[in-house]
Amino acid sequence: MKRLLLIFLFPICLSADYEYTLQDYNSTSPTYGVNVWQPEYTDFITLHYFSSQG
Amino acid sequence: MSNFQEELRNDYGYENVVIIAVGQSNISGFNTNFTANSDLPLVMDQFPSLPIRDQFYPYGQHKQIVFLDYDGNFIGEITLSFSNLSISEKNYMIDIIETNYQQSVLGDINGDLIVNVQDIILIVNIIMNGQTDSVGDINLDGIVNILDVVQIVNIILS
Repeated sequence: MKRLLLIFLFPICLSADYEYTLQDYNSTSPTYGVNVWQPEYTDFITLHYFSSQG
Repeated sequence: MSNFQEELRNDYGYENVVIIAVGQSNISGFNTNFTANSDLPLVMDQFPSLPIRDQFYPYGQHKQIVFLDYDGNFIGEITLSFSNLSISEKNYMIDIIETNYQQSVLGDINGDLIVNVQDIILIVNIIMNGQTDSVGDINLDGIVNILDVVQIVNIILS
């Protein structure tokens, strides 16, 4: 029974639940001032480009 | 990176792919440097907790791009060597997108790649609930209304 439970739970644990809603600050972006990534780009493949330098 | 966004849309036809720049609220200058002269959406991860980086951990490092599918599931990542993309980096990224991209079908509201009565029910619900789901805007007039329903019916009939 435990093994069965593990088999069912393992894929759930692996799937990540990424989600955020933040205002677009780029004044030259078409979505400036709008909340992205949700809901504006819900039906998109999203590439999140991180930087820690200005 | 903005050029790459344009390339994805214009050269490869990936309309539903977006690159979102994720800066940090404690560092000024992202608008002028990170997304300089570009049309990339820019969001600020709030310092000091940096919740987005926390959520994406162990990803979200400097110059790292994290790819998520339509349901927000992780599908790939790459850490760039320089600000300009190399050909191999570009090909690697396009491969990830190609593997996961679903061509959209006009009028397909529920995303099952078929236009049928289920899509009509969904778009009517969108209208009744006063939602502004861009997927339902079939005629691209910026409003989801009866004209979009008529257009879906026409698509089904034709």
